[in-house]
Amino acid sequence: MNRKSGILWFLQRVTGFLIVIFLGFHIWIMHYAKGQIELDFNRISARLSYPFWKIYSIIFLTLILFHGLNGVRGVIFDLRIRKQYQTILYLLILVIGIILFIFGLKTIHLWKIQ
Amino acid sequence: MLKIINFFKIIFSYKLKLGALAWLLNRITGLGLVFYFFLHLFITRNFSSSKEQFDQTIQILSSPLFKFLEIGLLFIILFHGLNGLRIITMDFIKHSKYQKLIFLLIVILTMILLFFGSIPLVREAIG
Repeated sequence: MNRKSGILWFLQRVTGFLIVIFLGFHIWIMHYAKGQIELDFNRISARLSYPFWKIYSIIFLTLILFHGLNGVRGVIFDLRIRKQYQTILYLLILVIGIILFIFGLKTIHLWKIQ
Repeated sequence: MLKIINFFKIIFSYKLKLGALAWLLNRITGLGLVFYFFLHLFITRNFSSSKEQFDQTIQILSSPLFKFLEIGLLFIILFHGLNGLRIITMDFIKHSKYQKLIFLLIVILTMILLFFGSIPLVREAIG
C-alpha cells in the first residue's frame, strides 16, 4: 500500500516536470503560430501523419491525464472520507482517465488532410 | 457530506500563512487546469474532423473575450507550473530554509512572465 502511494507520489513529480517542457513547447507553438504562421487545419493534419508526432501527442496526452487525475486523487485523499467512498472515487477517476485517453487517441486519429 | 464541510472548516480556520497559501493555491489552480483540460479535449475533438469546423471554431476562439480568458489561463498555468517546480526542488534538494523566499520569487516570476506573455494576446484582442 505504501509502495504504491510512493510510486504515485514520485510519478506526479516526474510527469509534472515533463509537462513543463511539453506544455511550454505547446504554448510557444500556439502563440508563435498565431503571430507568424496561421493556424491551418491541413498543416496540423500533415504533421500528425508522421508517426513521431503521433507518438509525441500520445505521450503528451498520457502525461497530462496522469498528472491531473493523480492530483485529483490527492485532493480526494485529503478529504478523509469513509474508506469505501474513497475507493469508489479512485475507481471513478481511473475509469474517467481511460475513457479520456481513448477519446484523445480518437481525436489524434481524426486529423486527415482535406 | 458533514465530513467534507468539516474539512473546509478546518482548512479555513488556519491562519493563512505563506506555506498554507502556496498549498491552497496550487490545489485550486490544479483543479482549474483539470477542468480546463476536459474542455480542451472536447473542443479539440469537435473541430478535428473537418476543416470547416476547425476554421469556424478558431474564428470564435480568436474573439477578444477568449483572448482575455487566455490571459487568465496563462496566469493559472504559469503559477501552477512554477510552484510545481519549486515543490520538486523542495522534495529532492534539501533547502527548505529558503522556501518562503523562493515562493515569493516564484510569484514575482509568474507576474513577469504573465506580463510579457499577455502582450501578444492583448495585441490580438485589440487588433
